[in-house]
Amino acid sequence: MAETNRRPLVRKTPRGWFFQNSSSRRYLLRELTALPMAAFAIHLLCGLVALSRGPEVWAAWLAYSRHPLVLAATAIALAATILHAVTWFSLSAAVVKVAPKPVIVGLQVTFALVALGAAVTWLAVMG
Amino acid sequence: MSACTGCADRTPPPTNLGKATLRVFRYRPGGLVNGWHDTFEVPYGTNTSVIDALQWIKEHLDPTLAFRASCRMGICGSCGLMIEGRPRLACETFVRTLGSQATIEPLANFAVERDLVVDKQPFLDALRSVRPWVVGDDGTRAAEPGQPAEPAQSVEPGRQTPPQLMKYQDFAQCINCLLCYAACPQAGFERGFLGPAATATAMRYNRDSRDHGAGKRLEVLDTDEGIWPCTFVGACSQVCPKGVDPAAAIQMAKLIAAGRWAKDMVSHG
Repeated sequence: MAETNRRPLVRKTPRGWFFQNSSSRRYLLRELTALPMAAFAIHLLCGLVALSRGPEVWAAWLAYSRHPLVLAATAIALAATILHAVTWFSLSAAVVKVAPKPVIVGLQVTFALVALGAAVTWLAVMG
Repeated sequence: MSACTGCADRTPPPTNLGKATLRVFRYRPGGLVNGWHDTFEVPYGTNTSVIDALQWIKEHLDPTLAFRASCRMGICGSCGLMIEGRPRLACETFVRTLGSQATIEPLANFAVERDLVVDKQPFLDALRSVRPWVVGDDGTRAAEPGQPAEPAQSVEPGRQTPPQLMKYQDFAQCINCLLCYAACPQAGFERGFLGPAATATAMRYNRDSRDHGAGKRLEVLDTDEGIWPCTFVGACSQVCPKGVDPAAAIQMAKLIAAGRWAKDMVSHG
């Protein structure tokens, strides 16, 4: 193998890369929505366990759920869920892209319909 | 011979706007291990692009400054740089739009050869692996990566209707400038990641009505280093100077790969 004077410099991604621009910060926010949603899922799981252990435990879980701090955490989880759902459905529309935007004027409408259709389906399943 | 008065109205003469300070990343093999920044004062006007400024530095201040440039009109994709921390084409970025002191660095997520020049070979390898050509139904152009492609033997012209062209036309606008790789955090973490532009090119040919190579491309796309490291950050599509939307291409490829997986699950029990 021929000798070379090349010494390519490999730079590592800085630890705080997600604070570098607004796009990364939005992405970080979207990913962080998983944490309050996971916490709320654990809270609901505890409720199921409480339900299986009798009326007293269930009443205690209900009282715990009405605590202002738990209500605040639930509100945060709801906001995180809505944020994640909105960003997810808006992104999912890009996957069905069929043509360059300038060529089909109604494409944005198509995107909106796909996002709306996905959201309605999700609500129907969840409801 | 008369002057074009309309042109004169539309194109104002360049105006001297003073001097801008550019902090330019420098690196030499055998020099400082992690490189360094040099600061240059550059005169600029309304029409001075970052490439013009770098060329002025090379001609007047430091002839050893290394950078890539070619067409200077956003076509060749050679001059991608990190300008103020954001991947941009240097020929399409005007100095007047930057702050009083702008930092110019080589594209992120690529190894630096010298100053602002990065090693593009990993991308070229990734691009070649997805067979970026129309694979004929006789397979004559389906050359293996690393081997020269055979010329097509078919005598039939590859006719297409406008709707068939529109299906892939946006993905065909890619100029391989690599801004998408520099914007993608996953490309930084997973150095073997196939990445946005190579996947967009793969989808460009997959969606071409004349092509028969989608199956072979899927073998490259549907791997741990293919499309799956993508977490849909979406930054690649935001920085693309040609509006290619490689993030959408990767999600399309994921749908196809997931469909094939489901089909295999059903057919193989």
